[in-house]
Amino acid sequence: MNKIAPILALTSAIVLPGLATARPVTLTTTMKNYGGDGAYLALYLTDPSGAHVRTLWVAGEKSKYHKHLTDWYRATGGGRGQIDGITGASVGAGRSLKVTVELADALFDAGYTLNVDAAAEDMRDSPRDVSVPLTKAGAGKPTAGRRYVAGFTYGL
Amino acid sequence: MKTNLIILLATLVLAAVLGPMAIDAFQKQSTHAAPTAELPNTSAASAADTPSTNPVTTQATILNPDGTVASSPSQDRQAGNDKSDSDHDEDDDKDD
Repeated sequence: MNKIAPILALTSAIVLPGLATARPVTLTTTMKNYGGDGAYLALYLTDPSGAHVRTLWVAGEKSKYHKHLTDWYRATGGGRGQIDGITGASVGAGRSLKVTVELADALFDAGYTLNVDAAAEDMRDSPRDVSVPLTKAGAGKPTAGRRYVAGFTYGL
Repeated sequence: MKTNLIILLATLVLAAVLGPMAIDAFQKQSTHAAPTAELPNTSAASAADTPSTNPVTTQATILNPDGTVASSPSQDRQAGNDKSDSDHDEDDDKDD
């Protein structure tokens, strides 16, 4: 009987990781009417130390402009391998970009941060235009951007 | 002693069977919840990322201010037609 506990612990250690859950999260980035061409955006996740974890989306496909997404570019080098399959058109002023991402529950309330770098032609670059902690309590609450982003929301 | 051994073996067998089944079921559920037909997932992601918590982008859409769909980036990409980018000139004279 006294061996039941270790057996249960072992079983849990093997089975529970397989039961880890993820949920679809919709990231909505609405642009201001900043009066310029379509903005380039990089949406990415950083860990508690501020290190880049994963690029979630890059809006704007011409790689020569990606260096203007300065913080994201510095962290990733902007290599094509980083963004294959997760790039699309730049986002015009006043428009919104909706991106759906599967995020593991373990990422919430664990010090991770959602970031948006932004840039528009002939206008100033805006690294971390949005930088918002990934928490369950913060879901659905709009966050204002610094320069180009009118509002950013993530919804569960 | 023998009983405990049997319990241990049975537990290990159950874990070996149920673990992969749970993972498979979860993956199917994720696929159902957010179809990946429109965009491929982030298969190019680095293997160095934390495997169990890797975010996967499944869909992206650009909306007009009135809420109508302006473009689906994946469709633009497939057609080689990034309309918004067409406004960008060849000269890269952004202020750095």
